[in-house]
Amino acid sequence: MQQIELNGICKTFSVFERPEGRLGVLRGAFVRKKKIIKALDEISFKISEGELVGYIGPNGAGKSTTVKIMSGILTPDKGECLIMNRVPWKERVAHVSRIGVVFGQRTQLWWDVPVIDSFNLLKDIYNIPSSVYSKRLTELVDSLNISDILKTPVRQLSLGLRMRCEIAAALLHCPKILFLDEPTIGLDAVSKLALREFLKNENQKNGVTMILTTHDMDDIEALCNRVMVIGHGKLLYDGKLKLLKEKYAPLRCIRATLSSKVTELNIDEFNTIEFNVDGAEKIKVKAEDNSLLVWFNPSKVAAHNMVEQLARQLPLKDIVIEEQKIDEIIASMYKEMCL
Amino acid sequence: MKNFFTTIKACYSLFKIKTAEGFQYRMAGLAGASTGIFWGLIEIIVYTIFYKYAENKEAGVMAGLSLRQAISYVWLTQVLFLMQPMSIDGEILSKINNGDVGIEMCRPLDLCSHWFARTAASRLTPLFWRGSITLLFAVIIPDIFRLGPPASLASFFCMLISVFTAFFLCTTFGMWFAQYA
Repeated sequence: MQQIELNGICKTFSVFERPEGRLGVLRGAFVRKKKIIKALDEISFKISEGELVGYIGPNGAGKSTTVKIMSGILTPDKGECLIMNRVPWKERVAHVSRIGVVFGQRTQLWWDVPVIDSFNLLKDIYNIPSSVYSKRLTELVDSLNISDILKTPVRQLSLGLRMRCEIAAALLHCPKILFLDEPTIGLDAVSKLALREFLKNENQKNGVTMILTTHDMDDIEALCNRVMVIGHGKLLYDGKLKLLKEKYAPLRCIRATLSSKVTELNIDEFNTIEFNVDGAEKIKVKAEDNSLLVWFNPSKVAAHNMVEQLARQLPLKDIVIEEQKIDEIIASMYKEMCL
Repeated sequence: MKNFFTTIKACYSLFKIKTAEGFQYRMAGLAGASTGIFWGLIEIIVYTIFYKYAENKEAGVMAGLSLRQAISYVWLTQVLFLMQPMSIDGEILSKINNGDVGIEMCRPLDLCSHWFARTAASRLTPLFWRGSITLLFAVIIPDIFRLGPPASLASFFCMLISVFTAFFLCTTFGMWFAQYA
């Protein structure tokens, strides 16, 4: 059974524009141009229980709008959305008591009071029985390692610590679904890794369905096996991360550092080298660090074959085979789709 | 019915946490109290002059209040002054301005009662600080300026009830008024 089901969701916003020019301010007071922006255009997808889905797209693509619709904050103009058999915006209170939401850029904790007071308040808001609450609290506090800061007011916490508290606050009532809107924004490497580890654990242990929007592709790579890419309000890709990579970055790159000067080789004016490597898609010389980049498609030609050819023809010092970085893949994908 | 009690409990909890938060601002309370005391004293002096030196010395009494009662009235207005600021909780207003208000919808709470509890709490603590300091001052200053005792025990309790209900009324009115803020 599908836990989350979106069908043809549309949402438009109207933005008002002021006329330009010297009298624009004055004219703008009386006439203004209305511009309709399609934030979401026929978005449909299904997510089943326990999935960990990455939701990516450039700024302004409609990620947050989707999350807001799914969490019952916004009402779509058109389309159906069924989450755990409820329509979020129609049965808001019943719906939100079963989900958790974390917005990386906004805080849900009470700014001036100690963290534990916020948690106690949430206990009453979500009507969590005391026994369940204390057990869950110890569990979360231990795994997020926040026992030392429970008595500190939220405003005195660093961003990383605050984010851990936010996550704990969102999971106190054992939600079935967790929406994370850029949870790792602005976090340092250690906090990021800890957070990822925790989310992964929570997903596996308690089967919490998670939808994660982020700009950090490492998050996606570490956590999600399914990604959805959205751009201009349309769903562009929905599937496995591995397939996305195969489709948009099929090539591997061999970075070969040479022991002799690269300039001594026979190089033509386009900085490409004229010698034969069977199966190479593209070859580029980088004179500054004395290396050679050779791209090949692993589904067509085996890596050992490529390396062997290079080793026979060139004085190799070091050799590295790289996968294209996921950031670059996404960037080229955005570019290709004119986002 | 169960739902109702859950809401009440949550709102009470919210009220508690906001009150605790507000109690941190003691200095603001002290500053407010000194303003209130100063203003009260001016009013009392003006009333005293009018009552003592007016041509028709009976005018004030004819209006229904003796000087003593007028002075008590002045102190009571100063003590309860903060019951009616024409706004809601500043935190809610700033959330509306910067868009965080959407997140409030992620709580399984009815927005109206939720905000009511917060607004009530956010005006109770300044009221408490400013009011109690002013009240203390009003009962310890020299007799001629002092707040008079309640007329009777019964009327004192009636006053407490009316202050209590007025607090709810003022909060409601503030929330209604805030939509024009």
